Amino acid sequence: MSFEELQARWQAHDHEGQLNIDSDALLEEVRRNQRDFEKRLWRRDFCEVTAAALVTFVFGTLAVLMDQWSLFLGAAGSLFVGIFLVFDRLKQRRQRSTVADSLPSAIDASLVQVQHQIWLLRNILWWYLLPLVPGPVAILAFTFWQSRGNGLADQLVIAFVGLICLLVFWCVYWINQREIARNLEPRRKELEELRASLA
Amino acid sequence: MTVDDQEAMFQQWIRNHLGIIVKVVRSFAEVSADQEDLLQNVFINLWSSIPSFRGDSKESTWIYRVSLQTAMVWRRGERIRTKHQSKYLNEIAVVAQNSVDGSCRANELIEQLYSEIRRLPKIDASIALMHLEGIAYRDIAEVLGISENYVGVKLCRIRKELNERLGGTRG
Repeated sequence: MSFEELQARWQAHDHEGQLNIDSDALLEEVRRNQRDFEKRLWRRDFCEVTAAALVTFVFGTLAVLMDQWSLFLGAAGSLFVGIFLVFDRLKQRRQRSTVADSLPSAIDASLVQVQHQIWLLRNILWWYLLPLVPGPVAILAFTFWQSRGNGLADQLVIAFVGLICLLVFWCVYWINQREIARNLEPRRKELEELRASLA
Repeated sequence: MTVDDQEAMFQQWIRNHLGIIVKVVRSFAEVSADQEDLLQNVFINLWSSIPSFRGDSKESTWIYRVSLQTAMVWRRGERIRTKHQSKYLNEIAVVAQNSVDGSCRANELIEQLYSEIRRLPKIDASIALMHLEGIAYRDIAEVLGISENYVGVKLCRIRKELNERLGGTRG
């Protein structure tokens, strides 16, 4: 069979089968999905920023009430993370491409998004973990200093809490680096290859 | 463009060009869950693209462009599907499954062709799909944003590859 015959069979074939779409239901579904997608993005941003604001508020209030400088450090760290997230999300929203762009620019836009995500996760130590570290460290150091006369048991408890904090920070870092290696880097490679094949 | 115009155009596109969307989805996604996911992506992007459609190109070319663009940057497993599972999506999955299970020889050939298209690199799969549809080189080049010459060069290789892979089973 020649390719032309294959082509003719392909064109003669009923690819839709017995598909009978209710276009009103479909329209409603598409509009709902689009709304849901926008809502989900908004909710994610809202949760992240609200969490940072809440931690800032709690640390800030405790710092004022207890008059402890170490708590101010925690509030400042959370505030920095919150502000960073707001700026980053706003910048990303402005860069979101429309569907009507050409295929190469659509691939470029996806590539930019993935590269940014990689950058964000790779540098999570600098914009997320390190700003949050001084607060707990200062609080623990301050408590440790205050408990120096209470015996070894108290100091061991504080050291244990410090170790747990360190473990949590390390887990956050490790999970994010694993996400880069498992999903984002292969995705970037795939998009780069796709882009190169259009060149 | 008013929302009513957008709705009317969307419904008209679905009525007239659903076949294009189904073919693109089946050329890029194999299992029904992936097909549903990609289909949903295509529908959403098609809906969003309507205000940008100025009528400079044919409707079918535009729908190919949006569908292929969506399929190429879509990645299996990155589901956008929401908790609202639709009846129409299930119906599409059933149609695809029926085709896969079909015992008709013609169906087998077409299913094998879909399978071979899915094995090609994404750009080649798009070119093969549009070529099988009988779309002109110029339109293929326009949809993919590449030159007509490049389409020609790619097609030579794709035709040869498909011929070789399907050679043993066709008749």
